[in-house]
Amino acid sequence: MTPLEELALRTADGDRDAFAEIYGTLVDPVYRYLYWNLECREDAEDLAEEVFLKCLLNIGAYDPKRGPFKAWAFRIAHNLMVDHQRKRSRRGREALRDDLENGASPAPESLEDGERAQALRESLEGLPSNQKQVIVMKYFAEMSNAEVAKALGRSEGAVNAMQHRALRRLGKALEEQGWK
Amino acid sequence: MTLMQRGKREALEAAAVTFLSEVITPEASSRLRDHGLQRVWVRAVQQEEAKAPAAARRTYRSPALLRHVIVVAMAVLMVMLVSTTGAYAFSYNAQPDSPLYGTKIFFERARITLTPSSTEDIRLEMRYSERRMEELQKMAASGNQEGADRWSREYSRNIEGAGILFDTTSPRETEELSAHFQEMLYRQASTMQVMCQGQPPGLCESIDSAYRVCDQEMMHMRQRRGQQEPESPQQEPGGQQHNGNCPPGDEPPSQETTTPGERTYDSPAAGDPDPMPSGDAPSAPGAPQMDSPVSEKDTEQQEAEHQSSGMQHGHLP
Repeated sequence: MTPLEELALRTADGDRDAFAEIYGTLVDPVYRYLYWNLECREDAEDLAEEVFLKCLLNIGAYDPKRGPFKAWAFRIAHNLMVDHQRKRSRRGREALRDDLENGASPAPESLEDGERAQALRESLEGLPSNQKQVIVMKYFAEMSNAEVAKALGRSEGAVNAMQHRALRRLGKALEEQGWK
Repeated sequence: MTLMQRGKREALEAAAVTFLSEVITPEASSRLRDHGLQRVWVRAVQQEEAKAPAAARRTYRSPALLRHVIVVAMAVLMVMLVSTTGAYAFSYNAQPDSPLYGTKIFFERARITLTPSSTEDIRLEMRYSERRMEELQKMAASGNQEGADRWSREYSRNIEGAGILFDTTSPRETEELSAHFQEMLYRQASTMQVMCQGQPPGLCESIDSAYRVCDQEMMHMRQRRGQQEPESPQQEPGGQQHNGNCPPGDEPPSQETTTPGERTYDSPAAGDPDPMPSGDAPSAPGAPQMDSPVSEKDTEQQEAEHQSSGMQHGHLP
């Protein structure tokens, strides 16, 4: 059993410190995952808090035999993200653009970083939804293929294949944008 | 796929991976990093506390409907309680000729059924037999013979019921109670003797029937308590006369049904209180006077039979 699974079981027994360790371990990966899906820091922070709240309230339902805890937490994150995007799409894409233009994201440290981030956003927009999830989970949430598979409810082989296709498309899109 | 194509793909993938590794994600604010955990705890506690009353509320959909159901149920219970109490109160003093007498008997039976112990049942049967005697006094005072048969049946049930309970209960538990019961039987027998005088035939017959049951039970109690039967049946002290409208020439009903060993209208055993008041009892004018329950002739006959058969008095077949 990995440390996260043990911490989850201790949290279910009422150990607050165990949950604090889980929070400390997963808060950055969860935030990054949500940031690159929602493209808004405030929304990503709000939703990250929701993810941990839901994890805590349902920690008793986690069964280590069914998969890694990280995969279980990111499944929650993925579902909340999808719900959030549905609500946001009802609000309208105009609101999203306003958020971006009004500085919902912090200013990049350098111009290049800003441009790189913008290029990545545009490239990820061009990917199918499942491939985008694979890329964001693997390279920003630092999850293994097995964990991604569990979180998305797919087989590891399928995740592997989606990863390669996604990377190729990403590479091509970046190349077209002039990034080498 | 050609080598070139594979190479191209691998290059694209590698380029993408490199690019991804160089992308900087804006860091989360201190709101999430430093205070997020605390907010999560607070919200979790608030949600748990909010769940409890919501769960309680979730047990029923419509408060108004539940209120209505409770009100109706309580009203039904009240009606049942009031009607039961009312029926009990109205029937308490009912006489055997009253339509409410059945209700009165019903409540008595119900109470006996609900008592947990046999000794308590015996006490109740005794108490109810005393009630029968009160009813008899009222019937005799008014000369009303309606319901007399029913009265006699209920009295018999009380006395025989108590007797059966004594049989099924340990003598040690009921020693004191059996003495009271025996005393009560003698007293009731004496009362019935007095009551019968000058009464209508229907009532007198019912009293007679009840007397036989009382006497029978007295004999059983003597046997249970290991008391000796009187050695020989004796004439009643004072020549007790049993006045009533018995057909002329008939023996007292108890004597007609006498079986060997069965005692009826016996004089009490030595030491027992005399159930039959001594002295002449006034007879109703014009009414045929009956012989004393045990005449000298019968006594002699019974003695002869007794000696020849060797049976003991009080021995039931």
